[in-house]
Amino acid sequence: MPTGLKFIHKIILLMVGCIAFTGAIIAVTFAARFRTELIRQEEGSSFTVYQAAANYLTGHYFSKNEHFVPRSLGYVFSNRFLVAEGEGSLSVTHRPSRVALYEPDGSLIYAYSIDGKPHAPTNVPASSLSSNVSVVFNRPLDRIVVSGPIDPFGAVPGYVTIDLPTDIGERLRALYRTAAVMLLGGTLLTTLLGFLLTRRFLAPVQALTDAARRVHAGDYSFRIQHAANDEIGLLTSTFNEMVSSWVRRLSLMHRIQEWTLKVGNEFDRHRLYARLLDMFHNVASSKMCALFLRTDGGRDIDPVAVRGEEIPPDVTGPIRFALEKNEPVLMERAASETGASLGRVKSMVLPLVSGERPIGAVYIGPPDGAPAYDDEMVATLQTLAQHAGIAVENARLLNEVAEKRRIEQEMGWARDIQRTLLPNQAVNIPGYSLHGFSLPATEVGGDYFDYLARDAGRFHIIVSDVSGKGVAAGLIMSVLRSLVHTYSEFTEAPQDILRHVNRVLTRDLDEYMFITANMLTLQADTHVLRIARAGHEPVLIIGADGSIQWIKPNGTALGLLDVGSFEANFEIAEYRMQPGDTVLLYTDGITEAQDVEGEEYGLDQLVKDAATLRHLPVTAMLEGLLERVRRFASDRIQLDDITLVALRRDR
Amino acid sequence: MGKDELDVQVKSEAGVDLVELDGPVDSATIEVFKSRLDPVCNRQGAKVLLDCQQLTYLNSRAIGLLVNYHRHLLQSRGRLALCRLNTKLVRSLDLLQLGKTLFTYETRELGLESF
Repeated sequence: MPTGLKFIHKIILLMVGCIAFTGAIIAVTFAARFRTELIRQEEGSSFTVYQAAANYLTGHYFSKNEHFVPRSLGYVFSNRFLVAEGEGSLSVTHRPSRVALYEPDGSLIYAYSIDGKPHAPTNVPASSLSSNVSVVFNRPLDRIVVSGPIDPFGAVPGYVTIDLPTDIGERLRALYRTAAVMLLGGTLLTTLLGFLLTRRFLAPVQALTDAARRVHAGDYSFRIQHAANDEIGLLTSTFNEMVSSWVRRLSLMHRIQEWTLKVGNEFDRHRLYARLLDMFHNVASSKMCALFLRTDGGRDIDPVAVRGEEIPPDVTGPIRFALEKNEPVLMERAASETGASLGRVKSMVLPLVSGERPIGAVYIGPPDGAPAYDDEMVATLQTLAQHAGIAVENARLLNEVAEKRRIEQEMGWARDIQRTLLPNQAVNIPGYSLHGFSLPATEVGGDYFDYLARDAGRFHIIVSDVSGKGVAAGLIMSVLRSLVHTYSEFTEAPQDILRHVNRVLTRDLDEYMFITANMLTLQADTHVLRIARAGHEPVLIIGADGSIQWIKPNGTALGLLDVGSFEANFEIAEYRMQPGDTVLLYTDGITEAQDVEGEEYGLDQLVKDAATLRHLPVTAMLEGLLERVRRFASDRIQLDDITLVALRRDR
Repeated sequence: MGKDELDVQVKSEAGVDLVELDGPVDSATIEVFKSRLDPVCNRQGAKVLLDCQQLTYLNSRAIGLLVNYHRHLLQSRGRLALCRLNTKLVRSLDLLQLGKTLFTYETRELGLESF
């Protein structure tokens, strides 16, 4: 709320101040002129009295034998000088109150005072007696003093000084009083008139002020009624238009806010598209609108939602242009269609942008019930298109995240399931230690190892590697496990088991996929180890003394070649396990582990480290090997599945 | 650290499609490998020589592809051969017993002459 004087009061105060100041200036100017004129008149009259006195004194001087007779002078100045006899009474005008005559040497000849009191000095300096006549107004005493020679030609020696009382001061005071009263009265009258007139003239301004206050308080329906064809009228109509525009924008803003909230809280893509179109359709009041989004990695543009009438086929070009240039395409009315209406845009295509990239576009057809969209509506729809782009991208990202979470969850389940397919503890083989583990590079791996205890101290151990990684390899791995478990139930020899497995896999596997495997069968009581190799890394045997043996029977990968080729080149090897012998089975995830420079851990290093760690229990030995591989790889991510299995004859 | 990208150049030399491989064929580049070799190796009766001198790595899926190309080309009276294999690749093929299946040559000239 503003403090201090109201505007109207300020105007009045200013006006009154101006009038009072002007009046005062005029009064003072006229008073000064009047005073000057009055003094001049009085001085003129006084000079006339002086001349009369000089004439009289000259006559007196020559009539008295060139002498001045004080007694005679006293009579004349007291009773007769400048006395006019009128009807019934004497009229005395400009009678001097004091007269003094001096010799040329400055000695007093005669002095007259109307009150009889001596007033003139008996001597004055001769130099102070001027041969010129001087007329001086003595303001404090309110009198005029005229002095000069009795005879300007010097025929009569001496000087005369005449003192005349005046009423100049009194008349001036009366004048000032009158002027002050008139000024005050005029000012009051002007103030009153000014107040009344200003109130009348400034009433529209007050109305504007009140209207602004009401609008500010929330009364948006209020309008000022003022039809005058003047500046105030223009201001009033502008104010009314401004409020109307403001109300319109406020309403639009509320609608935009509502729609923004609606679309911002919708993350189901199809419902979001529907809401977005409802929003554009509703806000623009268009006959039709359609939402187009990039599909197939951005190569195609397809309509995902449509509202209103059928979309004209010729919008494809503008949509492609808007997406290519990342600019709105505004289709304007023809020149012949443009009338008084401000709007020019008949329909438009607005790109939906995410970051810098257009992800789609919205086509808004002609307005329903209006010839075109005005600039304000176009700007509003562009703002909505920005919101829409963000909403579409947010929904897409959210769906991606949800999809990713779903995949991660499913991969987690797959990993857990795959873990159950691998042995969680070693089988107990009398006189032997057995340990193994598999670490997939991703959630699901393609490596497989297993121990199968069969009758009469016979144990199968298998390590395999499915080509590729991930889910596909994991699925093949589970198939392989089923086949191995099935055929090992009724087939003793490892080469026979793999042969059976290969026949199935060759038929069923993708032609690019294959599996390498080492299958070992240990007859624990005889310590005979039979080894079948299907394209896998050779079997490494580390003796108790650190000696190294490689066992590499012929055999290609499962599912790689035709069955005939596989079986034609398939061999089996036998090895009799000695006390302290450690059989090490591994997949290429170990030997091909890379450091940050891309160097591989390598076969030689594996042999060297395995020999070094051979004295440790097999569990510790494998953990030691894994730790060394990880130390070698340092920060490099695991590129391939890693599997290690160790079998040791303890006694 | 070696290059991460695979560069595949296909040339025609004396009626043989000479394919020069530069870089690794791993899970990141296998699709490039396949997309470049499919048009060459799936042509009936094509004679294809893969120059592996600059090939730094060949994963198991790529080996499966090569075996598949080899099989199809043999059926269409064509032929796939490999030359200038590095030690590691030779070892991989040896482990898989493919040394007797695939045609491999120490030099490009020997490879070209074999057709």
